[in-house]
Amino acid sequence: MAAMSPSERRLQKELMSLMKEPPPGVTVDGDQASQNLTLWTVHMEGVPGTLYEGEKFVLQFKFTNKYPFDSPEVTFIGNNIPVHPHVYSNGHICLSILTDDWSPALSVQSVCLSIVSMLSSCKEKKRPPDNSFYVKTCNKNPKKTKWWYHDDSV
Amino acid sequence: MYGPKIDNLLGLFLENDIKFIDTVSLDIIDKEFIEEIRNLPEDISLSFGRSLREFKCTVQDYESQRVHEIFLKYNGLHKLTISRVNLPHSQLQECEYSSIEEVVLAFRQYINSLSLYFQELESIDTSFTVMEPVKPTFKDDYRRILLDERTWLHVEVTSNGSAMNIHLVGQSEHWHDKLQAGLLAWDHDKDIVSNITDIFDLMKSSSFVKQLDKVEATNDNKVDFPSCAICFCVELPDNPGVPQPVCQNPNCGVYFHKSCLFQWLVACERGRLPAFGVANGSCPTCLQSITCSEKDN
Repeated sequence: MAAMSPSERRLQKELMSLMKEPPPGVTVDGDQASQNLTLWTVHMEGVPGTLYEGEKFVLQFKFTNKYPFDSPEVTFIGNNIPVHPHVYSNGHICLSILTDDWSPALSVQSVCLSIVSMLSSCKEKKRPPDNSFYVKTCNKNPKKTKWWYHDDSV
Repeated sequence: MYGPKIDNLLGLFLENDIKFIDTVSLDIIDKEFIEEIRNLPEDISLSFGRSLREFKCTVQDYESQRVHEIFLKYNGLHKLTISRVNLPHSQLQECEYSSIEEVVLAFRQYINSLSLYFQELESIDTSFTVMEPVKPTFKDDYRRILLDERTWLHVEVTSNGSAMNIHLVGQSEHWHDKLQAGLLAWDHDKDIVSNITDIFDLMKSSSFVKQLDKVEATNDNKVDFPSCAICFCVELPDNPGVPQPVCQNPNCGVYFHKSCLFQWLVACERGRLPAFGVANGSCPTCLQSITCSEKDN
């Protein structure tokens, strides 16, 4: 087997620990991720007692070979995109740690926890106000979007 | 790597079928040389390396129980060179020797001249918790000693057993003043361990003793050595360094490989290399300002 690159080594370690001790409500598709370390699918359940209780979501993580120096590309995929003021109907998420505030000390696990907490603190299920315009005009890669992080409370 | 002892191998060759050597390895090693190996004194032992032309010679120190290894290459009759010794600053590699005994003689002279160097390093290794090198040997002329969870003391030992380039690694505020005062009062008649112990009051500090127990307990299974908060590994394939407590924030408990942190701080500046090789930025974990040099001190 060819020697692993630093990004593969780290992804391998993250995958192991995420499969061994996943945060509540979060499961990673280990088979798929171990076949292609640069594309992960993570299943997420709405936290009981929140607006998303009982719902199931699917997150997709794409990594470049510069990870963790480069942030992962994280989007919701599948039929059920959470209705949330920071989540566009095409699955793009407006979350500062995914772009400007990314740090290599963050991980798939900490990103998942941030998204869980973002959903859990939501008080009213609605799309972002500019949803239809954004979805029509945006790049396929959410990291290409110049986000304007307007609201820290949700 | 160094497999069968030469006795076994020679036994095979010499006692059973000397012609075997004549036909198979006539020009690999000379019969005269084989005789020389057979008649070596008992305190020198040899084992072969990957080929019959490479071998390892194990020599015991007269003054103590230390065992040293010399890696030799046979380049033809009476032409021996030393390819490697597990000692620093050696110039033995630059000469050609006519016999193993000549090699050993030169080597013994060299290790006698290093006797203080050995003593100081041995004393450091037994008295303190050494964080780096991970497996200290005489080849490494430096030690990084654990002062507390976030601070190490870097000491280099010269060939005559003096300490040099002493400095702190990691959290320094608590220890900095003690070190500055201590360096001025360094007692050259005492050994390095006594000096360090005096400077930092190490024997009196109960927290240090606790640390010592803790680290020794985990040293056996290596797993507990803190991993780098960036690459999530302890050892890097192309870097002998281990993660260090680089962040100066006393509440930030993370360790980084200097190379990983440097790479991140440079990436934050869009790849622009910093002046003088020292990158500035904020700690990836606690966001406090942090500096990191490209090279390890």
